[in-house]
Amino acid sequence: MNCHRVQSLLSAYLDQELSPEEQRLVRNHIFHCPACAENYEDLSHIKSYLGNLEPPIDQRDLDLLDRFLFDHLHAASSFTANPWHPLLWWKRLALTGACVLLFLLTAFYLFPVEQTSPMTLTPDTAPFSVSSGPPYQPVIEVKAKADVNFLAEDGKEKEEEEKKRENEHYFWREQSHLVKGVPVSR
Amino acid sequence: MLQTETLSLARPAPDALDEFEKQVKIYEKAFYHFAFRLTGNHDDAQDLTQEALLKAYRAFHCFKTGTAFDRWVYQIIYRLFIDQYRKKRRRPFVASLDETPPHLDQEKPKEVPDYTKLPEDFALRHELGETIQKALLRLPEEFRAAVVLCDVQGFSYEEISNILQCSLGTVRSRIHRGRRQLREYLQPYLSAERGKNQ
Repeated sequence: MNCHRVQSLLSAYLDQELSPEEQRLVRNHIFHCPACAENYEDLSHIKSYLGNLEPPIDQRDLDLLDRFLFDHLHAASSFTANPWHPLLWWKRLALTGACVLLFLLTAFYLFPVEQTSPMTLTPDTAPFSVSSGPPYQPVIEVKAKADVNFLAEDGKEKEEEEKKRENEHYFWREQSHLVKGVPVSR
Repeated sequence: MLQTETLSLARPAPDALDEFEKQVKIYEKAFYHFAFRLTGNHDDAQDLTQEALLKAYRAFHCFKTGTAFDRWVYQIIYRLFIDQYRKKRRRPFVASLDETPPHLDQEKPKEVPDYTKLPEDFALRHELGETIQKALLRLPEEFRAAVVLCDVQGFSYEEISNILQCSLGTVRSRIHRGRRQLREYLQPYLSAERGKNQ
């Protein structure tokens, strides 16, 4: 086994992660090769340095960590454990309410009811002719109007008939056979 | 090798939180130590540990009974760390107000006497610990995690390959290359050790 190969195995040899055969070969090589032995020494020093590192924590930090963590967890568990918690329902209700409100607001903006609104068509601003009356009428109203018109026409006919009868009563019946302009003796 | 507890926990446990707390209590210090060695400072280590434990708690119902709880959490910590590291690398550097600015780096901090430990011993240890942490932080994060899990936490290569979700060969090469880089960074200390032995 050459030095290059041993160097690549040294770390694993140090951690006792080699097969027994490999371990034996590396051990033999280190025994005879001072360069690899020095390398091995350095690596084992590094391992012991790291292993002897003191935990970086003092008690105060740990307590803080504990308190924060378990406050969080206990608070979180009361919510996550129960999806039918009343508070969750309140939130859902509030969200629905907000949605409805938003819809109404936009609806009023899109379909304005005031005549003065800039979105309403007026004869001045319209690109085409607009009748001044409302664009639609309830059916009952139209019918009622039609009825009234019908009655009015009826009344007019009656009036005319009455007038005719009056004329016939007070005036001479029109003589159609008489020629205009020729005097008639009575 | 580290002894790890396996859970004997029924899946839909009503007292899952208690069981979780119990497990966390056992390994809490080790988790924090791992996070600290990865991040290199207390604030980030605390954030990382807390976030990982919260994640672990939320996914506790997915935890397979009979497997090691600590390895599962180590895996979460490592993944979170890698994600955060990648995010951080994309963001511009933000200077900390607490740390000394680079031009004052050479200035000596105000010294406060501490008689709790043997001063020489304490100074040596403290200095070496800081140097090692700095050297660790210079390693690529994959190498750092593998080396810390192996040398600081004492896991076997197989356990590390489970935690880091990579092959045994990858673990072996990461640890090897990580240690070689550490050897370069810590050369002054190592040569002092050699002088001591001779």
